[in-house]
Amino acid sequence: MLSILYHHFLINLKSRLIYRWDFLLAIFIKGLEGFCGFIMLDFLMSKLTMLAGFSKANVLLMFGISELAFSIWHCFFINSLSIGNYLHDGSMDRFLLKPINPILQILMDGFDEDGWGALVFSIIVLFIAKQQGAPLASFQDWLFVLLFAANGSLIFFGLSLFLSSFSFLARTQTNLGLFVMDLRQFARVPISVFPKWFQVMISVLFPLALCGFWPTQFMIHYDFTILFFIFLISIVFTSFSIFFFYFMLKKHYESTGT
Amino acid sequence: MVKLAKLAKTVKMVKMIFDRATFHNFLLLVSGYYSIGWKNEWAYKFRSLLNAGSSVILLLFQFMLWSYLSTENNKIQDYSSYFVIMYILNLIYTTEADLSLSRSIVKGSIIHDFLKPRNVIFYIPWECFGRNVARLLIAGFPILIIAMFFSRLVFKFSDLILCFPLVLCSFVFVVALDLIFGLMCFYTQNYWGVLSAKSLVFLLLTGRLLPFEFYPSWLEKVIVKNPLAHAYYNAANTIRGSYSYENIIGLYIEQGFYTVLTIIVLIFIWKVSLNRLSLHGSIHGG
Repeated sequence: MLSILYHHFLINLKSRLIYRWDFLLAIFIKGLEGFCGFIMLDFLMSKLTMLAGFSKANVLLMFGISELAFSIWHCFFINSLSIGNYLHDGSMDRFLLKPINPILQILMDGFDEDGWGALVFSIIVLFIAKQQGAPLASFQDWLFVLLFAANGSLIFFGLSLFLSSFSFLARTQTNLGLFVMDLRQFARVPISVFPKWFQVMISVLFPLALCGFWPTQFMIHYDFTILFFIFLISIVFTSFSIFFFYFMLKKHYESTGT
Repeated sequence: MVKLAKLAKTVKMVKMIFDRATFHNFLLLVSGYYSIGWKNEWAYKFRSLLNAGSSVILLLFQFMLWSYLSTENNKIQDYSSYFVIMYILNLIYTTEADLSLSRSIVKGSIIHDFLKPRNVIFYIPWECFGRNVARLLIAGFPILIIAMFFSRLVFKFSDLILCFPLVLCSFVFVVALDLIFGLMCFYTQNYWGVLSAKSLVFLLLTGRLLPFEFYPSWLEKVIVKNPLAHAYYNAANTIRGSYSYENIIGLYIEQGFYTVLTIIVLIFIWKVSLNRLSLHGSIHGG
């Protein structure tokens, strides 16, 4: 399996490297996009001493963790947004005929190397946060950050898979999956700025707060109950999304030419 | 003698422009292009509605964030209405002209446009105009009504009238800029990087992400003068009633100048880029 993943990764990389300048430009720009978000946050924080009880360093930590999670999703899971396109042009069949998990095949069909720029940038933001006093002193802290970023990327994957599965009803690209790009805003700021009902919604139902806010809370307080709930909700949510994809596939997918 | 011939040619051209039949033909042509865009958008109205749904979520985010910030901090005003106007302006200016041009360059299907009796860089803006008017009706007005209901958003009719020429001029400017970015594909052979660069430029210079008041004062003074700021930030502030008549005349002149300049650059790049076009399957001699 790892060998297949590796070869698909190489194919993707080589096919992007053909357009050398465009590829380099895209990586650079994706990094700059993250930088842009960081600068805006910095401008906003310069007018405030605290944001919903969080210091500038901790807001940057939240931003860094959520951006790292998002960029990992961007690099490895972004093709889950293309399900609608495969349904539209009738190429979904080819994933179902091979003896490999169809979700894995869809993901392997479009790794996006552009996300590397954002990945590098989000690590830089984390170092800046550390400089400003965020709790990232020990090696263990960094391990937790990596764990939260991986977990966050799975949440983004779950969200994109869940929303893209509605394409089985429309039989084309619904753009619902693209919501993920916009929804990441909710992972970047403390959820205390939102009303209570909304805090519950983005902590449990669409757990975007588990990509930035709750990991930061854990890093500050080292409360292992938070850690337990982060992983519990993430696993349940991602499993539900995968289950929902298969449900839609079995219930609503019609093969082309049948 | 040569001068006289040139003068006669110019007079003939001017006559042709003001000729009623030519004008009638021109109107027929642009209304045709316009209706293609209009019908195209209505055919995918469900997609537009979904996009509007996505924007509602973002607007909800902005609304909650700025309401919180303005209640917590007296120095910060509530920018909810600003972001609603920004959304509507973005709906007006987002044309996908860059994407359609760059796709046709990369796929090579641009050749079909050369086989038709129409000019691509003249046809696309009119099509975009038709599409965006339809999009405004499908996705813009419902959100505007919801926003007016929830965020106590009120417009003065005079401010809207004042803003209209600026928005119209800015639309032409943004389409021309989109086409310039689209033409870059002749050099990069792919569109993803170029279009990402465009979205970054727009994100930085329009004030869509954060109002310029939050930028450092030296940067605010510089950035507020750029044409994209006129199209978005200054237009939004005009609608919010922050501009006097004297200021708005200055904005018209500046934006008009930028638009003409961008069109000239577009035509130049278009002519230069066409030299890079390579055709396969040309006619055999003999």
